[in-house]
Amino acid sequence: MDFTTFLQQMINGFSLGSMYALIAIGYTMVYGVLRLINFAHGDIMMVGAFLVYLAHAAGLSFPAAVLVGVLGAILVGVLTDKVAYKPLREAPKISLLITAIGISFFLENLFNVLFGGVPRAFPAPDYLTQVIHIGKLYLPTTALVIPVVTLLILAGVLWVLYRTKYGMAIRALAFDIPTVKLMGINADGIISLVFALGSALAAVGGIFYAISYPSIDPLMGIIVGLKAFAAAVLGGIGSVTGAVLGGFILGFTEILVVAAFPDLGGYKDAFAFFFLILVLLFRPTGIMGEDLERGRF
Amino acid sequence: MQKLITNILLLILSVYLIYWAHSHLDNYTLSILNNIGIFAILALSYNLINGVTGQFSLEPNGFVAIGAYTAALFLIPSETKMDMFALVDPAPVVMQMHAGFLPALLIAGVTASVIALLLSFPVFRVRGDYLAIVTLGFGFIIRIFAMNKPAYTNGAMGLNDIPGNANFLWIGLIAVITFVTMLHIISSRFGRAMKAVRDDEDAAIAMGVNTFWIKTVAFMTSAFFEGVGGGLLASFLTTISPDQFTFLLTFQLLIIIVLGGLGSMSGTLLATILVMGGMEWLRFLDDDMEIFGYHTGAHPGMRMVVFAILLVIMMLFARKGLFGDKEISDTVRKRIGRRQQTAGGDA
Amino acid sequence: MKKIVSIAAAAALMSSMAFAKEVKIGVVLPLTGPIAAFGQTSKGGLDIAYAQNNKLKNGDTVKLVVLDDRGDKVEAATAVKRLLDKDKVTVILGEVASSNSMAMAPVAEKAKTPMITHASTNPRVTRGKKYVTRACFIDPFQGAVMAKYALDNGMKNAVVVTDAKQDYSVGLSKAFKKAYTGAGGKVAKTVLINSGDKDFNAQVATIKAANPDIIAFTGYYPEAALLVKQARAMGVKAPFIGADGVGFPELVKIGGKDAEGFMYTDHFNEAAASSAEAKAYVDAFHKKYNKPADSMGALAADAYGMILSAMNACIDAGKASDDKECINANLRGTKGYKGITGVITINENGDAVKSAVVNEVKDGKFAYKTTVNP
Repeated sequence: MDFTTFLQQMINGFSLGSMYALIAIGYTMVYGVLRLINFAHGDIMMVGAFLVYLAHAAGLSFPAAVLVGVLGAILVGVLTDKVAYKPLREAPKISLLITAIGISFFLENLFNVLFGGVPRAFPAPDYLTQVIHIGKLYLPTTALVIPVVTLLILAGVLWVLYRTKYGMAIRALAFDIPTVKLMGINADGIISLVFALGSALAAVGGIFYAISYPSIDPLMGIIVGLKAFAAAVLGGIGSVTGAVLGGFILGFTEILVVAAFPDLGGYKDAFAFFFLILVLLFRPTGIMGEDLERGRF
Repeated sequence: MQKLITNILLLILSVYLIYWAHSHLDNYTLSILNNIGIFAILALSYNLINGVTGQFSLEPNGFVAIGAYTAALFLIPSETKMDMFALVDPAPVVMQMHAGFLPALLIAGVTASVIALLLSFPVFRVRGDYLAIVTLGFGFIIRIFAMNKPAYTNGAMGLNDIPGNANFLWIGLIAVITFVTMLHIISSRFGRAMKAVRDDEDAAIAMGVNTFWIKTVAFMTSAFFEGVGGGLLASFLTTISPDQFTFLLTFQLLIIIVLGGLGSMSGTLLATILVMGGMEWLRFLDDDMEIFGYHTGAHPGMRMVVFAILLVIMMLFARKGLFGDKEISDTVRKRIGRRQQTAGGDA
Repeated sequence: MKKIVSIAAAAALMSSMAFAKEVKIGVVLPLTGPIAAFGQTSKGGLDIAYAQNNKLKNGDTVKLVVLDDRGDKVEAATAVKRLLDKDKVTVILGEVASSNSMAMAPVAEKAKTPMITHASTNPRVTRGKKYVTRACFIDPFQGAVMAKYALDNGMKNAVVVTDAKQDYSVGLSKAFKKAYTGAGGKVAKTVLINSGDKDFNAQVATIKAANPDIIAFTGYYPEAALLVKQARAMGVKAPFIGADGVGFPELVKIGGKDAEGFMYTDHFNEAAASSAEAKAYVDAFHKKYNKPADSMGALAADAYGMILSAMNACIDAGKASDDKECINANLRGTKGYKGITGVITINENGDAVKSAVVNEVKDGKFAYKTTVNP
C-alpha cells in the first residue's frame, strides 16, 4: 500500500468512522441513563433515512426533507420510550431488552411491509456527491462535510451535557434516578430529552450513510447499529467522547485492514465483534469508561 | 411412587403417539410436526439458559449452525464431499469425518458444548446486557466463518445431499428426551442453583454458590441440545447454508420462550406448537383481505409485524407468559411433594 | 322418482366433469423476504403465460397452485410437501434461488414427481436427479459467455469481483476465471465483497491499482450499483461486465449515470425476441404491466410452456395428462422447444442448452448488444 492509497483510505475511514460515532453517541447516552441497550437505535437511523427519501419523493427540497427525517426520527425515538420502555422502568432488565428487540423487529418489518425490501435510490443532492481531485487523491465533498459536522455535533452534545442545567440533570440521572426524582426534577422529561437527542443524531448518521452509499432498505440499520454499539462499548459505554473515539477506531480499522489485506474482506463485519470480545476480556470498561455499573458521561 | 408410574405411563404414551404419527400421517403433516419437534428441542434448551438461569443470551443461531455443520460433515460420504466442495478442496480433516447418525448428533452436541465453554470465559465476566450483545455477535461471527472457510463449510453454497436419516421417530423421541432432561435438571440441586442465580445473583454468591460455574454448566447444557437440534435440522432438510442461521432464528425462539413463560418447560412446549402452527396459520395476514368490501391488498411480511407487536404486548402486559416459570404439573406435584416430604421419600 | 332423477343428473354432471379433468401445477416462489423481487417478477411472467394458454389438447384444464416460501429453505421444502400431499399436484415449478431449489429437489425426487426450475443456475440443482429439469442455462455457461465477450473485444486483463456471501457469485467467478484464463486472458486480481456491504472504497483502491481492461462483477445489482458509483468517483475507467444478477432497474436507479456502459449477460432481452411466441408474450406483457418484459418472467413462462408441451405430448401418446412418469420423460427429453427466451434443448443432466444475450446500460435502459450461442 503506497502513501497515496493510505491517505485515500484514511479519508474514507474518517467518514465511515464519523457515521459510526454519530450512532454510537445515542447508544451510549441511553445506556448511561437507563442501562438499556436500545436495540431499536439502529432502526431509528433507518427511519430517519427513509423519511428523508419519502419527503423528497413527495416534493420537498432536500434540506426540508432532512428536517422531516430528523424530526420524524425524534418522534419515533421518544414515542418508543413512552410506549414501550417507560412502563418497564421497574421491571427486570431482561424484559426491557426483549421489548427493545421487539421494537427493532417491529420497525424493520413495518417498513418492509409498507415499502418493500427492494433497495431504493437515495436522492443525494449533487453538491454533496461531487468529487474534488487533489493530485492523485479523490476527495468526495461528503468526506469533508461528514467529519466536520460530526465534530461540531460532538462539541454541541458536550456543551449541553456540561454547560446546561439539562445536561446536569442527565448526568445526575445516570447516577441515581430515584434521588433525582426526589429533588423535584422531571426525570421522565429528561429521559425523553435523551431519546430525542440520541434519535436526532442517529437520523443524521443515517442520512450521512445514505448520502455516502445511496441505497436504502428497511434492514440497513441492523448491522450498522450493532457495529455502532460495539464502538460505544469499545470507547467505554456511558462516555460520549469514548463513543466517538470508538466509532473512529472501528471505521479506520475496517477500511485499512481490508485495504491492506484484501483477503480479509469477507471478515469485515466481524471486526466489531472481535473488538467487543477483546475489550470484555481485557478491559471491560472500554477505553474511556470508568465503571460498568456506574456509567457516566 | 405414584408419580413415577404416571411419568412412565406418559412416556410410553408419547412414544406410542410418535410411532403412530410416523407411520400414519402424510408427508406434509409430518413435516410440520418435524419442524415443531426440532424447534421444541431448540426452545427448551434455550429456555434453560435464558429463562431458568436468567442469562439473557442471544446465541442459539450460532450453536444450531455449529451443530448442523458438524453433523452434516460427519454424515456426508467422502465421494459426495469431493464432488460437492466446488470452491476449494475439502480440508483433510473434513475428509476423515465419518460417523453414524446417532454418533454424529452426539458429536454435534459436544462440539457446540465445548465452544460454549470457551465462550463462557469472556461472556460471563460481565453481567446482564453485555451478554446479549456478545452472544449476538457470536452468532454473527459463526455465520461469517461459515461463509469464509470454504474448505470446511463449502462457503456460501453450504452443504447439501446430507443423508436424511432424521424422521419423526428420531425427532419426536429426541424432543421427548430433551423435555424430560430439562424437567429433571430444573428440579435438581443444579436447577435450584440456576434459579438462585437468576433471582438474585449477589445473594447466590453470598450463599456460596459458584455462579460462574453454574452459568457455564447451564450454557454448555443448552449448547449441547442446540447442537443436537442443529444436527437434526441438517439431516431433516438435507441441505444447509449460512443464510439459514440468521438472528431471525433466535428471534423465533425468543418469542416461543417468552410466550410459554421464561423458565417453564411445559409452557415452552405448548408455545412451540402455538408459534410454529401460528406461522402457518397466520399466512392469511400476508394475503389480500376484504374488510367491509375494502381490499387491503397483499402485505407480504405482515406476519412478522404481528409477531413483533405480540412480543412487545406480552412484555408490557403479560410478562409471565402462559405458565410463568411453573410447570403444568406443578399443582399436582405440590400435593404429592408434600406427602413425600412427610414420608421422607425421594423424588 | 324425483330423487332418482336428481341423482342421475348429478351423476351426469360428475361424469362430464371427470371428462374434462383438472391438472394441477404447484408453484413455489419467494414472493416475500429478501429475494422477493425475483419471485414477484417470475410470478408476473407466469401469469401472462397462464392467461395465454391454460387448456390441454384433450380439453383438460390446468390449474396453478402458488405458494410463497419467504425465500427460506425450510419453508420451500415444506411447501413442496404440502403441494404433493394436500394439493396433489402433478408437476412442481420453482424456485429462483439455487439453494432453495436444492432443498426442494430431494422431496420431488423422492415422490417421483417432475420438478422444473426456471431460474436456478447452480449446476448442483439437477445433479444426480432423475426428476429435476431446468429451463435456464447453468453458471459455467454464463461465466464462459462473459469471458468470451470480454476477450472477443480485446480485454485481456481482468479483475474479478466476487460476492463471498452468494454461492451464485462464487460459482460464476470460478467459471469465468476458468474460461477466461483458458482462452488467454489474465486475471490480475480477485476482489471479495459481501452482499449488504455499502462501502467498497478499499476494494476500489485495489481494483484501481491493478488497472484492468475489464471488471468482471459476478454478484447482484445492489452491490453492483454502489460499486460502480464508487469506482467512477475514484477515477476507475475500466468497463464492468456482470451476469443475470445485475439486470434489474435498480442498477440504473441507484447507479445513475455511473451505471452507463455496464454490460451483463442475461437470459432474455425483448429486443432480441424474434419468434411469434416471444412477440405474443412481449405484447401481452406490455399491455398488462406497461413496462419492458424482464428475464425472470420470461423464464417462468418458458418453464410453464415446457410443462404444457410435455403434457400434450403425453396426450398424443395416449397417456393421461397427469401421468408423472410420462411428463417427466418428455420434459427431460425436450428438444428444440421454441420458447420466449430462445430455443431450448434439455441435455442428459436435465440442464437447458440455449443461447444467452449480452445487454448494456444505455441512456438508463437495458439495450440489447448481441446473442451468444452455446
